[in-house]
Amino acid sequence: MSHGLASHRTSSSVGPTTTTTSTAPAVVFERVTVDYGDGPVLVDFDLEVAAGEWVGLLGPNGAGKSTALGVVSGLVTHEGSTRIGDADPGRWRPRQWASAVALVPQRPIIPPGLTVTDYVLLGRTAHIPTFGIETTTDLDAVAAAMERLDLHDFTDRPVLALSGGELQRVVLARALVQEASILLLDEPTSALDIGHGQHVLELIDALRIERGLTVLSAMHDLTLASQFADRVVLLDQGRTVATGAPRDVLTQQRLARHYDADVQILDDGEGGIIVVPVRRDRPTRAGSSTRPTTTDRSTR
Amino acid sequence: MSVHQVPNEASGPTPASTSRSAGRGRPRPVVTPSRLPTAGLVVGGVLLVLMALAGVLLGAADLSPTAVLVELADRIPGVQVDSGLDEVARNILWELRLPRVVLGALVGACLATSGAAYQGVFRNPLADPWLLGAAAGAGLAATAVVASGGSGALAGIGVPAAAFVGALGGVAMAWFVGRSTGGRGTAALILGGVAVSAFLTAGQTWLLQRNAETIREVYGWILGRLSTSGWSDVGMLAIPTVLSLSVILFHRRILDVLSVGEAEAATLGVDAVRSRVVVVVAASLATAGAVAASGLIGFVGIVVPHTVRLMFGGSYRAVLPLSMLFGAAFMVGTDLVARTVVAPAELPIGVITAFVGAPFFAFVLRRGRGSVGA
Repeated sequence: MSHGLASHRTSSSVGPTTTTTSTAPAVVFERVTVDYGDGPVLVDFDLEVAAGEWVGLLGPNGAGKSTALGVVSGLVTHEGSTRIGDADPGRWRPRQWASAVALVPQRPIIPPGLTVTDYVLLGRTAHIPTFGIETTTDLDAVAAAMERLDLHDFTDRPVLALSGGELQRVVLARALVQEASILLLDEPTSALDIGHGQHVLELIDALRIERGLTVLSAMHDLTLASQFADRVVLLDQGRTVATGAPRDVLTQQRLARHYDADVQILDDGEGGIIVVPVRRDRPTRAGSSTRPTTTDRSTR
Repeated sequence: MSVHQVPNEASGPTPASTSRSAGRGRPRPVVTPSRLPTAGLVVGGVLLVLMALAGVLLGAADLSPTAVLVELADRIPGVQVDSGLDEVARNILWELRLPRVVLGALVGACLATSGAAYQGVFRNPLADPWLLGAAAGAGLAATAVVASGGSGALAGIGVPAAAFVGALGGVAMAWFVGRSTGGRGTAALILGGVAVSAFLTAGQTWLLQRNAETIREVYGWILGRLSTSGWSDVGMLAIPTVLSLSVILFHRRILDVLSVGEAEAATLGVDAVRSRVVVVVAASLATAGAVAASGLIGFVGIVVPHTVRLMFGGSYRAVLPLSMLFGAAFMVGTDLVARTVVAPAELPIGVITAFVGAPFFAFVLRRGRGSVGA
C-alpha cells in the first residue's frame, strides 16, 4: 500500500501498535503559510485533527479553506510543517500521498470517454504499478465501493451522463477505493439540492464510522457543517478566527463580523445548531398587518 | 466487448467487502473496466490486411493479381510455388509496392497514435500533430537541412533528427502561445498551434524560395507523399516508430488518469508533469518520423482516433492501440486512392486526408461544443 505510511507505522509499532496509531493525530498543521504570489492566502495555520475525527473548515469565500485542503493533499507548496500520521510528507511521491489522503474535489473534471467503472478504478492508481494493470483485488475494491454507494445500475454508464447527486457518489466511490485513511471534502454539497446534500453527508459519516476515516471538509453550509463535524475551524482571509465545537464557534457576532451576514442561530434540540439567514432590507417588523389575512384564508 | 469478467462473489469475504451490504439485498455489481476490445482488434486487423493486399495487388503497372498472390505465397516458409512473374514484375512488387505499403502503415500508425496521445495529454479533442505545429516544425527543420545541402552526408540522420527537434519545438511553441493567452480551453491551444504552424510554414517557404534547386524535391514532400525509395525509408522509420509507440502504449492507463486533469491526477498518485512530458516527447518523435518519411499529412491524428472512440469507447486503453491499427489501415488505403484515382499520375496523400479530415474536424468541433472554446 503506502510506502511512507506503512513503513513508518511498522517501524514504530514494535510496542503497543494500537495505542500509538489511535492516539497520534491523523493530520497536523504547524504554522502553515501559503502565498501564491499575491499575498498570503493561509497564515500561520495550526491544527491537529485526531484520527477518526471530522473537522469542518468554515469561512467566507477566499478564507483559505480549499488551500488548507490543498496542503493536506500535497498539491500546494507551503511554509511551516505538516504531518500525516507519524510521517513527514515533505518528500512523498504522488503515489504515497494518494494512498494516505483521498480528495473529493469541489468541481471534479469529468473525462468524456470513461464509464463509471473506469472512473472509480482511477482511484486505485496508487495501488497499481505504473505500467501495470489492475488485479482482481482492485476490481473487488471497485465493486465493493459501488455496492456500498448504491451504484449498481451505473457500472457501464458514461460519467458524462450522470446527474449532480449521482456524480457526487461516484466521485466518493473513487475516493473510497484509494483506501486512504484521510478523506478530504471540498464543498461536498455545493452542487446538490438539500436532500441530496443531506444524503451524501450521512453517507460520508457512516463510512467514516465504518472505516475509521478522518474527515476534513471545507463547507459553506453552516448548519450542515455543525450537524456533521465534531469540530469546526472558522477562517477569514487566511487567518484562524476560532476553533472548537460548532455551537461555540458559530456565534451571531462572529458570523456578522466575518461573513457580513445577519443570521439567527437556533438550537436543533439535539445539541446541534441551525443557522438561518435573516433578511435585512425588510421594511419593518410590521409584517403582522398581513398575517391575519393569510390565516383567514387558510382557515376558511 | 467484455474481455474480462469478474466473478461475482458477493459472499466471498474480500477485505474490502466488510462494509455492510447496503441493506438492499442486491448482489455486488460486476465491474468490467474498458480494455482493448477483441472486436476492435479483429476489425482493425482484417481492415489492415485487406488494405495491404489491395495495396500490393493494385498499381500503375499491370501485374496479374493471381500471380502476385502466388508470388506472395511463395515467400511463406515451406511453400514453393512459381508465380510466373518476370524479374521486372518481381521488382515492382518487392521493391516498390510492398515497401510502400509497409511505409504507409508505419506513417499512419505514427500519425494516428500521436494524435490520440496529444489529445490525451492536452485533454483536447482537436489536438493533432498537424494542427499543433509539430508537423510544421518538423517540416521547417527538415527543409533547412535539405536546403543547407546536408542531404548528402547527413541524409540518414540529419533530416529525421532535425525533424524531431523541429516537432518538439513546434509543439512547445504552440503550448506557450496557447498558455500565454490565459485561455485554459481547448481553443487556445489549437489557435496557438495554427499561429505557430503559419509562422513555421512561412519560414519554410522563405527557405525554399532562396534555394530554388531544392524546391521541387521539397514541394512534393510538403503535400505529403509516400516515397518509393524502397526499404531504406522503412528501415529508417521503423526504429523511432517502435520506440515512440511503445512508450505511448505503455502510458495508456496513465492517459486515462490524466483525463481528470493534472491536479486530480496528482491526488490519485500520478506524477502528472513527468508523464505528460514523456508522452509529448514520444508523440513528437513519432510525428517527426512520419514527417521525415512522408511529408506533411494532416488530419490523420483526428480522423482515426475519433472514429475509434465512436466505435469502441473513449478509454485510452482502447483508443491508443486501436488508433495504431486503424491508422495503419487508413494510411495504406489513402495511399491506394492517391495513386489509383488519377493513374498513372498520383495525388498527394495530404490532399486526400484533408478532403476527408477537414469535414471530420468540423464534425468533432460540433460534437464537442460543450467542451471546446471557453
